[in-house]
Amino acid sequence: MPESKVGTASKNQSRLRPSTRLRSLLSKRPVRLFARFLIVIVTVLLVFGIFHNWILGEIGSFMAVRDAIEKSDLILVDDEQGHWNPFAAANLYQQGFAPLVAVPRQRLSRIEELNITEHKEELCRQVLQSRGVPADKIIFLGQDLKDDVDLGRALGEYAKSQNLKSVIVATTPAMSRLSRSDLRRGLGSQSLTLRMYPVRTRYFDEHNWWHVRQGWVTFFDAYYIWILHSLAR
Amino acid sequence: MIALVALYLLRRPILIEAARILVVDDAPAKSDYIIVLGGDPNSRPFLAADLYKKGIAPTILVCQGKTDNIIEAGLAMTEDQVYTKSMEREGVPSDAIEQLPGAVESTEDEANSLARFLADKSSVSLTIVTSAEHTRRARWVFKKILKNHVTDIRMAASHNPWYNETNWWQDDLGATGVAHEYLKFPFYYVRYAW
Repeated sequence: MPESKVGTASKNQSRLRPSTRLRSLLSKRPVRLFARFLIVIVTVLLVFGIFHNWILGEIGSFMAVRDAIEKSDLILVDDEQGHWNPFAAANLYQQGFAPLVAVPRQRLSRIEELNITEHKEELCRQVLQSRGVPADKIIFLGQDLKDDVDLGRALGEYAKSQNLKSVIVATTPAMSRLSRSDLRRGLGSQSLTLRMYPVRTRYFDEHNWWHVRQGWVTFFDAYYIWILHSLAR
Repeated sequence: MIALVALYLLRRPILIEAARILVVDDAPAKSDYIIVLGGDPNSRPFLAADLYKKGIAPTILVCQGKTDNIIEAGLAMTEDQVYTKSMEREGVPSDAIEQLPGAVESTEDEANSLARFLADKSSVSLTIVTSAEHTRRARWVFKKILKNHVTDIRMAASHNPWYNETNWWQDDLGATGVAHEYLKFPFYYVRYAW
């Protein structure tokens, strides 16, 4: 092709209208795929940006099993790592939801064994008594409990011996689904109604956990352990 | 399919290696300070006390912990109080334990608190005591934040009595501890180790 004609052709190409250029660009498969990927990402980000409060709230609410609280035979203070649970259990007792409060005897940590810190159940008892639960209305469940499955077994034995029918479980919002499934696993075939009562803390609950760093850690842990326990079952 | 079967059959060595990657445990050597990081009162203060008794450093530095409702009600101690009590019980004199100023919530906060403490010092040698799975990340953070003050950083890995690198996935605490490290790993690598 003569040089002048080549020059004219390239000039024509560069003079292509933007829409034509875009069409020719999009006719290439990798570009098309990348454009689709971008559209999906942007759409997902937009949807999340608009509905993030609802989405994150639902993620939190899934883990926080919240049952209607009715008169029961016992209030169980579960997961007292969440320091708010004994306070809530004492409130439930004061409102007459159950005549007894049960505290699990968990395995001792090294600093508890060495009496550097108070044992967890002792701390829990002190909080309950300071909030008006009489000493003879506090019972201790099990011994050296490793997890909620162990606690479920101990609860089952006690419920059988005392003919209990229902228990209110004061637990944390993030751990309530996990607690319920582990307690049920420990209870086995025994029929005992568990009414989960996730305790709202001063810092976060299932509706606002994403506002604080500890909320992210707690809900991540809850999902992660719940999945691990489900896989191990 | 074959890969999945191989993964399943080799899961134990893979999980052990996954935890070992996180651990840096240097040979103990004389330092100016031992700093014991917050987060595990069941292992870290005991190793710090052990190192002190072996003459690794004349002073143990402790970071100031945060409070919660039980502590505010006077029913429990703050973490730094627990650390101090544990180390004293193990034979460390109270005047060998020094508290760093300002409450901390993260490894970065702890490194910044130490940087303020060492503001007028240079060429300091340091032994950092923390949980085994936390050692690699902690070393990145302290090396970068303290680069103007510290010439030698040695990591001392403490082990929780309930789990170690060979069984961490069987304990909820171990499983979450290792998972947290892997979640934070990329961010800390880019920010402090790159």
